[in-house]
Amino acid sequence: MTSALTLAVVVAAGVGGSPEHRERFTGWASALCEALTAAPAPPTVRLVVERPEEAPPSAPRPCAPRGRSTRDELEAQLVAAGGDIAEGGGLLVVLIGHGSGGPRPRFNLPGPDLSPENLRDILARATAAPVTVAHLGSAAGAFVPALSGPGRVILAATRARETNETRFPEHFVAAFVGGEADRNRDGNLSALEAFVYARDAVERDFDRDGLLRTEHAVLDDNGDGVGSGDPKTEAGTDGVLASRTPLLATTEQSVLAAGEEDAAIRSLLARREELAARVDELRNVRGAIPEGAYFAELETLLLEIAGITEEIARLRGESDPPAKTPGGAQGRSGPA
Amino acid sequence: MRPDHGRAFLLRAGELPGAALALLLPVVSAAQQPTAAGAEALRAGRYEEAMKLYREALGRDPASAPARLGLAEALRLTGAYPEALEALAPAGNQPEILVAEAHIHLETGAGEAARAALTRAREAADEADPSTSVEVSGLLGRLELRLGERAAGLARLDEVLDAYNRSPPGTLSPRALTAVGQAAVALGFQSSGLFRDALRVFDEAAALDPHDPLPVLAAGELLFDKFNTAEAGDSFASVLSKNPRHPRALVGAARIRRPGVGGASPGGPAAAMEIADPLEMALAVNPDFPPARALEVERLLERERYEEAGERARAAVRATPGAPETLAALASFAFLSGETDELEGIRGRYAAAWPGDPRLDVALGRAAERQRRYREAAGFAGNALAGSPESAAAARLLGLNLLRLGDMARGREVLEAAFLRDPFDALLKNNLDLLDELDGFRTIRKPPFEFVLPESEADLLAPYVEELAREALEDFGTRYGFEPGGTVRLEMYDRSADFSVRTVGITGIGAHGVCFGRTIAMESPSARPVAEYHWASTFWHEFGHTVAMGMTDNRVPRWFTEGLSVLEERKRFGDGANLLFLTALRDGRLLDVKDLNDGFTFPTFPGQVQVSYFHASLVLEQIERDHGFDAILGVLGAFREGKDTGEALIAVLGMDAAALDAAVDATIEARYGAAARSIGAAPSSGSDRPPPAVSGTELDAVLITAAASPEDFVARMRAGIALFEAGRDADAADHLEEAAAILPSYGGADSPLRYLASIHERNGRPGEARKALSGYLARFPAAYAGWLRLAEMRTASADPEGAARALEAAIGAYPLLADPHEKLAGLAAASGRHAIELRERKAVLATDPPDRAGALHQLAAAHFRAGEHTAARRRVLEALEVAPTYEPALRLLLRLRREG
Repeated sequence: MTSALTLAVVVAAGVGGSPEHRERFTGWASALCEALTAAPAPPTVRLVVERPEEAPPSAPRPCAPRGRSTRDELEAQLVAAGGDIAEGGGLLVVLIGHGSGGPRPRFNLPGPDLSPENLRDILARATAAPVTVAHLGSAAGAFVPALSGPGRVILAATRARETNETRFPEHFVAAFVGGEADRNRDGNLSALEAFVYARDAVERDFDRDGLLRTEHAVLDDNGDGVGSGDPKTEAGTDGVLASRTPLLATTEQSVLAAGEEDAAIRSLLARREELAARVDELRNVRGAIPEGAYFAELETLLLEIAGITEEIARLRGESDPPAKTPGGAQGRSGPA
Repeated sequence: MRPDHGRAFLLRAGELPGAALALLLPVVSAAQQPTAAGAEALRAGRYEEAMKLYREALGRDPASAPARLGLAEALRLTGAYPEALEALAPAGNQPEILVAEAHIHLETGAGEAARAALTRAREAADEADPSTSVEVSGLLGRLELRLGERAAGLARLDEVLDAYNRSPPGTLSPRALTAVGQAAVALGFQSSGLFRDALRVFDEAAALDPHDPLPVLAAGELLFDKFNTAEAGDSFASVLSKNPRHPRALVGAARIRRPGVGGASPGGPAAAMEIADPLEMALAVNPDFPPARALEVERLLERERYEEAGERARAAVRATPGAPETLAALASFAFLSGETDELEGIRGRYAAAWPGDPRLDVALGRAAERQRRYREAAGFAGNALAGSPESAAAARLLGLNLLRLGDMARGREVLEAAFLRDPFDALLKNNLDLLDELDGFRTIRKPPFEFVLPESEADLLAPYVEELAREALEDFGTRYGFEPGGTVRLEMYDRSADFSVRTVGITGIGAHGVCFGRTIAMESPSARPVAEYHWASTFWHEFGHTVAMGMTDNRVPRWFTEGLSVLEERKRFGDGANLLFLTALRDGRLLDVKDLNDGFTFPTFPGQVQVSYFHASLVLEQIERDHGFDAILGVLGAFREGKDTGEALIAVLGMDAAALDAAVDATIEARYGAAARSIGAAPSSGSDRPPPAVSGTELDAVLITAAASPEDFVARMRAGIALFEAGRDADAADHLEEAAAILPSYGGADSPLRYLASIHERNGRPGEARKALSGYLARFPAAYAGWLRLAEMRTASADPEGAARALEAAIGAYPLLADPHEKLAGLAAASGRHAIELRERKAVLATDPPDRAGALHQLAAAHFRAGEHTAARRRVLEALEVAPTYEPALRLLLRLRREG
């Protein structure tokens, strides 16, 4: 399992084809970079765009474009990013722009386009670490078979034959802002959570507008080269690896946990992670267990997790009392 | 999903050898020229000219059968039935003459005379010519069915099909083929494939004789009966393009162009269908054509013009005493006007003359249905079905009315049985598909209500729908003394097409809700874009109908029940006139009270239905204001006793409709007259909004117009909006304030107050902004975003109660988005209103938020605050099931555990 703390990131905004699209693609790429670099444990982000000279001078330094998003420059940045990856870490590659399908699928870049095979070969040269690729453009699904493999999470905004402009990137980027997409509230945004958040938002968009969906996002992480539209966390299916691939630390606590030096706390954190995994396993077999028994077992696990969490807070000397009376809080923060 | 087609009957495919067509082309001699010219005139609908030419031909050759037949046909088509029979009499032993005679008797309803003529024709037919025999047998078989001689009729029609199957291709005449097709239609209940075969045979006949309208008309009528109005329209248009005065085609076109039955342009009819009023034309050509006279009466009844309908129906029966159509029309009048003795008399006559023809009960059922008397409609349909179990029309009528009465199981059973016999019936298929869809809906029983909601929206909608329904029951119950007397079923559809099918059987209805008494069907909020539809006021409106129909035993006239519903809607949700109403007032197009029904059933200008809704509500308002609320109850009581509008007004108000009109007109003039007259630029046809704003170089022109017409609401609005969009707030405000002063009750989506609120807000005048926005929303409650904005403004001005009210209103406008629920939950939590907080937290969860764990935890906490620890525990476990390390939820779990 990689850690969000040890992730290296390359974001490429491809060729826009029009000023509006160029601005939009560059904007999303910059927004994603800013969200990543504003996180409690920011990764190194290498950003390449179609026209770096048009990047606003006010852009935060970590998100200043490293160059033009040509195929050569992208390759150079990917190889360099391979060097950024710390031990146990991984690489996140995000492609924002137009894609084309058909027998020779491409991601459109200034100059020569990028084929699935190009990217596969570049990644092979760049790193042996786990890689997550998020292709957010049209016909993205055509990249899945070539990139799929062990340790690989491939998110594609569309199936291979869907060539309309995508709505997915806007929501994928939004998943990195605000913490709402962290469904399991563990302080880390996983690749699966980012995918599900964006996929569901796209679906709501089309429903709201009364349109037939022209994009169906897929995710492949079991190495079979076939993307799934509804990845799960059940063994053998697409989704398991993605659920364990954090892309962003959303809370200080998660950063703290990752860098924990106290042996006793580390032990408690490990036990808690183990229990959380058992909750996941239990949830996957929910239908096969009588409801009463299911919730009893669930509660047992959760009470132990709660106790551990309380103990960790005590050991850390945190002031927040563990069982404060819930109040009338508004918004998304917890009431207790 | 139901199959689209049934099994085909094994009729042979018609083949047309080229020689057969050649045989039909006549060689015209000089002596035959007037006959040929007469035929051409007849085909073109120049009937008088045709008669003259045929008479000339008969003068030259009295033995000319074509001339005699042509003359009789021209006379028949123009309604000169005795003269037509007289013209045929001299050649009365020839089979084709006897068949023509039979056609006249059939049209005028002389069944036994028709049978006699056909019997003689069969005896006189040349055995070597199978066509006449097939045609006669077809006519006779169908006649026997209608005369109640079912076995004989069916056997004879089977023989017709057998004869067709045995005959070598190309040997049967077009008329014989048409008879074969009609026999197949009559036997269609035995095998659904026969309908398709019938269409094919009609096509075969039409190809053999392109001049003969009969097969095309028969096809059109069959298609219309199966609710394929587009293709039916094409058939009638095809006939009318050659003969624009063909009565039967005109009646067919008139039926298609009835409001609510496919509209004016089903599938883009040809120019021939654009005849101003096909029914009027049909009656002008043949004033005694029974189907036309029956349709005329039907329309008068629909407009609730009973006296006129009675006169016309009686005249029709005098003209053609035995015609089933006219008898059915008179019976419909007698039923709707409560003339029970007359009704029984007609029923007796009809049963004696046409014991096997369900048309009378079907017509009665339709008349009852049109007047919203669904129980009686089902009763008549049941009678029809008992006498003619194969009648698709009767089954359809029964099934649909059972569904309207909320008897879903029996209704479905009847429709399923009918569909098995006739899978080509679009209305049956649509409704059964809809029932399949409804199987996936959630039914929530909360006596006396039964809510049927889309499964995906049920969790979210149910609390609000139930709360509003209970409020309506309490409110209407208190003021009207109304008790439903049974289950009130509310169906909400998330697809407009499904709602439309539920309402009229086909897609494309423009309404949002419909009431069948204790069954209400309406669109769910998700069926329409945000701010274009206000579900809560729609329910309130429809429940008003439930009350009005319930209190009158469904005898309330359309105008009154609509007026009552709109008045109640205005009282509860807001009140405002729109430009359609004002321009109709300006143009003198408001109807008198006695004619108000026409505004709903037969509108004559775009937007008249909307105008009539508002106008009717003003009439009800006038009654309440001048005579007290009890007067409305009194009028409802009078309708229940069977009184019509005029009688009810005199009985309760002591004034006739004209006097009430005068009072209403005076109120309207005082309230809206000046503003209406000031409107210079009429809005585009059917629009309820001022013309769109302008920009750039047009701005000067708009400002000049506003300066020249300072009292013109539309001119002021255009100037105000243009300036607003140009960022000239101060100038814009001047015009918009003037517009608001000219027409303070304006209730359109683009009220001047809406713009003024924005101007005040962006110029730092929050108090004035709130006031303007509140004023706007009071007259246009569907403005979802406006309510949210008002809630924000009130929150900013430390008015949480006001903010909560605005959020409740936003939910009333559109409850399917999480935002107002989250905000209202927060306000409720802050003020300790646990019930509201819980409702809103559940609503947030039902919106399927991305942060499900967070929403579950908030709900758990709300339960905890409300002292509901069991529910809190369950919800917090569900939150942690999604997010097992979610610390606030873990803390709540521990707290619950420790507190027990």
